[in-house]
Amino acid sequence: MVSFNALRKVNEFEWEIPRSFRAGMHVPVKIFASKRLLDAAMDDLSLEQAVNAASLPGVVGQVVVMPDVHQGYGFPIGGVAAMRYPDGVISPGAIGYDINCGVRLLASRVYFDEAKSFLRDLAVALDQSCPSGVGTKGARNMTEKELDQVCRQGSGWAFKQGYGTPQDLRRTEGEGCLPGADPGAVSSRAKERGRPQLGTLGAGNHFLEVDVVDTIFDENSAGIIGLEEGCLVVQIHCGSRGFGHQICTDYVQSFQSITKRYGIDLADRELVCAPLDSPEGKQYLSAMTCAANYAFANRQILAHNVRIAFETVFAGKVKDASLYQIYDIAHNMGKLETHIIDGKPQRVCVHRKGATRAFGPGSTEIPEEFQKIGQPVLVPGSMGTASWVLVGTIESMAISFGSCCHGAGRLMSRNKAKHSIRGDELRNNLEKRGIFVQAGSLPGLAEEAPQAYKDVDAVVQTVSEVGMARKVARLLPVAVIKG
Amino acid sequence: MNIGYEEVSHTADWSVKVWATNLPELFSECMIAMLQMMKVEYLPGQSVGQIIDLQAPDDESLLVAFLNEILFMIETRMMVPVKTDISILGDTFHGVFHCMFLREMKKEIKAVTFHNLKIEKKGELLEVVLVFDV
Repeated sequence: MVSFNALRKVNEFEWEIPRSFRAGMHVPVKIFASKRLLDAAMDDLSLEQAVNAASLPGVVGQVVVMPDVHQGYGFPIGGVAAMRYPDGVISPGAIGYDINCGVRLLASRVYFDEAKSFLRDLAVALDQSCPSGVGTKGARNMTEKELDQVCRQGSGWAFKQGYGTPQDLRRTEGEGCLPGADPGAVSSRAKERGRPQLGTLGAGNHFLEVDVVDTIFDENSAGIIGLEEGCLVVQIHCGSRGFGHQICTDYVQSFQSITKRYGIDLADRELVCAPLDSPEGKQYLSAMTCAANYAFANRQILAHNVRIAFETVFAGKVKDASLYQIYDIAHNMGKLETHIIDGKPQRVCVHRKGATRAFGPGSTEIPEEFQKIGQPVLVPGSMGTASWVLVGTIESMAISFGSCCHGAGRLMSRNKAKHSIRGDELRNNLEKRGIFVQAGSLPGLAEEAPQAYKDVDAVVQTVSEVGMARKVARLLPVAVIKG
Repeated sequence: MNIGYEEVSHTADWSVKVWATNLPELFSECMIAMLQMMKVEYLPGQSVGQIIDLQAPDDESLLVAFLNEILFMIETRMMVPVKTDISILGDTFHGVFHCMFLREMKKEIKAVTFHNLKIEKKGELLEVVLVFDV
């Protein structure tokens, strides 16, 4: 375990584990957290996992730890590491099994006051329109040829099938399609798991959530993004389903011997990796890109189904029942980007696990209308608590490879949560507070209880204080749909 | 007890400590622990035979490959192993499984991880701590 004495305090919200902490560290670890959030991070193996990440070959700058960090497997959830291209490594375990798990936010001009009588109907309609739960399958089983097209085209494939609008694609990270996908790098097993699951939400911490825009902090940015106080919005949180899980599983397994062949010593076998310019590294990146594009297409189809449910429930009851896209961002991904490191531009593969991209103003990789304010950063809360819309900053480019936190971050183990919280009581309490809940599993609901998570407002306050992102709007939940 | 398992606290995922007297028993008990955590239920009826053959460079890799194979079998073939006969020789695994058809599973495991994975001798027993991504 990393002790408090090992940390150097930079200021109230920044802490550092220096390279000298352990032999083999190539870069320091920079932790962005208040003292309270830091204390929570020190209760598990988060910081030790960050030290392991700082020891990977080719890691540059610093390993960044977000205020919502918690222990993962191999790499901390809420961690960012940049690997020098092309001789640094890519690590499937440091990206995670749910490749391109992410969040999409849709907004409306429907005011809470005119919608509140129909929110239970809306929760039921959303639940029925988006297949969720363990082992769910989508509306149809794709052919292998169709799946290959999804891998190459991402959201664009879904758009061609009639799901969504051109604005959806434009307002998706990477326009919903990363280049370099090669379905030939994906196993037949992954394809078998992926074919029936497109257009499904899944289970665990994945959800749909209807929120009301509670407070606007930056009128100008909110106007550009398209958020209005008092209106309803919908969040979609899910990823690449069994397709991505199997791709990561395959490569973590096959890299076990490859890592040794490249003479790489690791503190944790889950961090197995290969040089980015090696045949194996290139192959994984191509396969990971397939899963990333699958996840974009998955959220695109879910967004289409959400729109139909939303418009059906509010048809004839409000003036305009349409939903338009604010943004869609990934929080488990490895991406080739250029950043200024040690004063010079450097091509790197940024591993973000439980961390979102947060590019600031001036970035040419974000939609034109966001280039003056920075890209929207979506930070979902924990069912009963607030969610946030932020924007990336120039500072985020300088201190965190253009990255930000991805949520509240777990505090309590699932085991403890399910033994100390009853799902039915939790649902009743949420409904008393005006939050309608549709849940496939009550024990599953208990594991995801708000008490099991950190205070999302404190997490957002930290990223705001350090300048990693700016607050735009705070959202409050009114209906939650969980698999 | 010479064979068994217990859940271990983990912030985000699931972790379980498993012990047994030999490697085949340990593998079998790991599978039982995983199925229990997923709350897998099967339909009544006749069992179906399945054979799994695997090769991996070490025992830990074999264990992860085996458990991921079971996850794949449940999700894609809807088959739940209820009786096992496992043999492990060097880097090869051979298992014969009597499987029933899946009725329901309440929890999803995305994958079995290698996180800090080490099969260790503890006195007369073998012990391993597994972390599942959920």
